[in-house]
Amino acid sequence: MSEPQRELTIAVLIKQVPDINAVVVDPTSRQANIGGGRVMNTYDAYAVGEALAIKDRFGAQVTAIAAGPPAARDVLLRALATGVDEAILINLPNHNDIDSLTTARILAAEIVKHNFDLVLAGQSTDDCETGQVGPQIAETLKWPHVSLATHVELSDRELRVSRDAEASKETIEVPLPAVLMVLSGREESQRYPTLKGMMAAKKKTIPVVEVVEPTAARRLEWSVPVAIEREAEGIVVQGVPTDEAARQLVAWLKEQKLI
Amino acid sequence: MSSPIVLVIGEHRNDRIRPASLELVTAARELANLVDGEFVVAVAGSDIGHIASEFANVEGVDRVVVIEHPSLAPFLPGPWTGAVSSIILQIEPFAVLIPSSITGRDYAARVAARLDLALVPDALTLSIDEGQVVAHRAVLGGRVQTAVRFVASSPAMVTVAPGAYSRSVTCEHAAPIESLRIAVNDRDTRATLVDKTEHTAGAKGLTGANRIVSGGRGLGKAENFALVEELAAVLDAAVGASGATVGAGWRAHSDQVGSTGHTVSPKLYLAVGISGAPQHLVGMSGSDHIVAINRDPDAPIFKIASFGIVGDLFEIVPALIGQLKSTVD
Repeated sequence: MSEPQRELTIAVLIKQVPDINAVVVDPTSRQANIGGGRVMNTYDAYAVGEALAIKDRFGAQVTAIAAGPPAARDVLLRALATGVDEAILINLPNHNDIDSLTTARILAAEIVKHNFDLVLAGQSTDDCETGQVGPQIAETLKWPHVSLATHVELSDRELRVSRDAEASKETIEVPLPAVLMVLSGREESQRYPTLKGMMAAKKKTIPVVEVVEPTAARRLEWSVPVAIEREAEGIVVQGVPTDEAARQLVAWLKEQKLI
Repeated sequence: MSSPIVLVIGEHRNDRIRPASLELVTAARELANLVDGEFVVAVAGSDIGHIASEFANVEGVDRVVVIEHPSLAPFLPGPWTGAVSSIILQIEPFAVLIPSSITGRDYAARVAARLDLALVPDALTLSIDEGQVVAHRAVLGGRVQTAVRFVASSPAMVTVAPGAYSRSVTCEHAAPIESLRIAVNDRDTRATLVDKTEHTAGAKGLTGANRIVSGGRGLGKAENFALVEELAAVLDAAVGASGATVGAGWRAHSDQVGSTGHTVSPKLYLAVGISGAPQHLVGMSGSDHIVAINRDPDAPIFKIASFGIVGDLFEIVPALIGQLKSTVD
């Protein structure tokens, strides 16, 4: 390489999502009551861990980016407290009202400004589960992407990515810049905020980027999500003593010739 | 005006049509009938003439188009994005249905971005309302469903969840087959597959197993998987895991059942502490008999369970193990 190597720059994308374990279905309206809890999306926490693992091994400047309401600052603070260098909040209060492609284009525009080498995102989100934003950022930027990434090696601006496909483990080589969607939280890349990290994070400035609210006509309309009415096909045992419930199941398994 | 076309991107693996694609045939035929339209299957890959012939024999298929290019095998999202975009531009369909598999989702999102289209993933049902496509899908961990309507995006583009429709069958008819040409852009070929290892014997045991006992987040922590393993041992069953437990690092990814793991269809699938996120359901809903043990009566797993017990798994599973042991003895 004739030109001096500049330090690798990584953007890690984070979404603040409702805690889906706290979702309660209202028995009358059948609508989901999301509750107050907002957390860092599960797979995005793995992406943060992978970004910091790459930083440790190869050296990198890591910036966390979230698009959402002002409260999404909380997940950026958490990322900073675990060791991310910088954080940016894209002010998008109605982020759940726009489709994944519009979100991807807003994030891509921010990524271009900073000339990042590598973008890491979680494989999917806990709430909407589209898994589309990562590949759509890659497409918008005309970069390649690798999904289901479990491990990353880097040499000469070429990534060697391990991924878990459907029935196989694969190794993909891809040049930078690229987008990776992170699947798993390996033990060694799990990061947790430290008290010291928390203190340092609170001293950092998180710039807020204002974007023009998307004016394009909405391509999709969503109905209010409701719980599905259960079909009365299967047998459901409820409110009976444990031994009796187990006995009924064993009897049924025999009847169906499953044991 | 010619009749509207419903286009399915047919999937194949190891030289066979993937069963999920036969479900898409059913979904697409129903949708095409609703708009009095034509239903076309596109098959892409390298050396796939026989796959095209197989699709031509499937009931409900009006026409098959074949796209052959060396860059389309082995699968990488770049060349497939180029190919599928090109197919859509040439066929000009009213709706595009793509299997919600790992590969399908990997290129569908990029194709939508390239063609400036909205994409709804994991559709469970498709219908037409006032001329517009409406797709139902589950959100918030599968607890609730939303109806998504395409209002200003054409063609309507969806990935269809496996198990959502029944499989179409082969019949006497043979739909016409024609070839389409595509060009592959350099920018779509920057990633290279350098190594591929099929999953280990243990994981294969999962896909071929007659009985599977799977554990979910309801187990609380990794150590509690011992209960699932003990129950599996008594039933001579393989052990599976939900995506949530794999994500949390409790189990290896090779144990995972669901959209980012294995698709299984055993005679007996016993789900312990699994709420039934759609990503899990798509991997096991084809099982003959589904048993669910869960604390939450509203958990989606009960919707598809043939036998469900609402209660505390830490009480029920040990009782079940005890009774099964005495039955076997």
